[in-house]
Amino acid sequence: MASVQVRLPSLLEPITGIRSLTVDASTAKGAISALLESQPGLKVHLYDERGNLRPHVRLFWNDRDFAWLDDEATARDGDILTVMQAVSGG
Amino acid sequence: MVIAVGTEKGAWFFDPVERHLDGPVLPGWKVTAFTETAAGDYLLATASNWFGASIHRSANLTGWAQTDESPSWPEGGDRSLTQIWTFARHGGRLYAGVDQAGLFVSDDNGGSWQPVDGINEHRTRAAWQPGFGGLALHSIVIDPDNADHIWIGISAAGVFRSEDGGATWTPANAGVTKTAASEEFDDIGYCVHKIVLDPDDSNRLYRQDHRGVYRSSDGGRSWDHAEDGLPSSFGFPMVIDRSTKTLFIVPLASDERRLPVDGRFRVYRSTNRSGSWEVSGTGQPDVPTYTQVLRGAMDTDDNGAVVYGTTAGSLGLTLDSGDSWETLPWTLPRILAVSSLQV
Repeated sequence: MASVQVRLPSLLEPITGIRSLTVDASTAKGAISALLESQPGLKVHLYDERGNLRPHVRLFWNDRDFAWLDDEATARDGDILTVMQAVSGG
Repeated sequence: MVIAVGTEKGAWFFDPVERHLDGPVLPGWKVTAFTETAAGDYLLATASNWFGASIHRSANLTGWAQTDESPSWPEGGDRSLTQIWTFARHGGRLYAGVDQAGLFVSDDNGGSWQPVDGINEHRTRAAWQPGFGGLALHSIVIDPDNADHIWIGISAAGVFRSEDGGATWTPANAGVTKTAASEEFDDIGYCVHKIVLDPDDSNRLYRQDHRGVYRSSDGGRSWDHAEDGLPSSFGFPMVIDRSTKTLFIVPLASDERRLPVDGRFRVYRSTNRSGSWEVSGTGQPDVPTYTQVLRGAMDTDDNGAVVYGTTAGSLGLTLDSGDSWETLPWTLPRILAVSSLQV
């Protein structure tokens, strides 16, 4: 198990009460599961009823979008899982 | 009394006596509905352009925490809950109306929610068409003397009535002009915007519809136009002050323009059960005001106070059932919901 740091956007702070936390996981996918286990109130905000990541939410593993990441990528101490709300426009 | 104001970017709470405004609560979140529970605490509903919809609870309108459970469609299904549009309460029972259109009920003050299958799986559901604001169950009216009698409004399917506590539902739109006709079902296809129940007669209802203002004297089975004195029959909000039996609406020029007629923002009222309408009292904006009031953004305390919030973020208040109005000094984000709460 690696110690993974999770960073959350400010809009989710009223849900969790915190902006960052640490979870233990052996894979990138496992880090997401650990996050939702630790903060179950986040699930409805990150995923829709079909189990799909909401279209304007992005998950980054260090500097890579999860969409292009092997879910089973091994987690290492110090890896960072970042939850972002997509921003567009000017 | 406290006036709860839900906006595109958080909630504010206004004390009309102390003239004090608190907020924002949940800044950045859409706040779409409020209610009190039988336990004496408060719920508000949030939505977001990014994240999912949920409910927050407070004991005192200051500290808020997300509830463990909110209304939701089954996981893995083809429906998505995007917004909680409205709450309604009768005794210890709470209802929530949502988009995608559905009705949920809670008998534990919002701790858990169950779908009301009688309407959610209605025989006509496949033909329900979304309105401009989505496919929303936005209005819930419960007979205060008989909790089995419930009316709900869905855009753009129409009004449905239940006489058995929500087990079965019948479309209730005869006499109303259709907006989204269904080839399969002749009794839906109506774009209701808001419904209210007369305080003295539970067979008498009023309806601001896409295609006009209507009243019913037979529990919604049939409807007649009730537009005498109005500059336009199009609009969204409708409330009735139970103390004075006065109805309030805010007409807009047309469904295409959705602006006050000639830039003259006016609340209209009827003191004779929609028999005729007049501009409500004095003190309304005397300069061109091109804004509107959304369907959930007007409420009354049923004791003479009526409050509306506009899409431009302004608030209007009367404490004498529409004889005189004032525009409050604050400008908030686009206002989605206004509720009078007892504290």
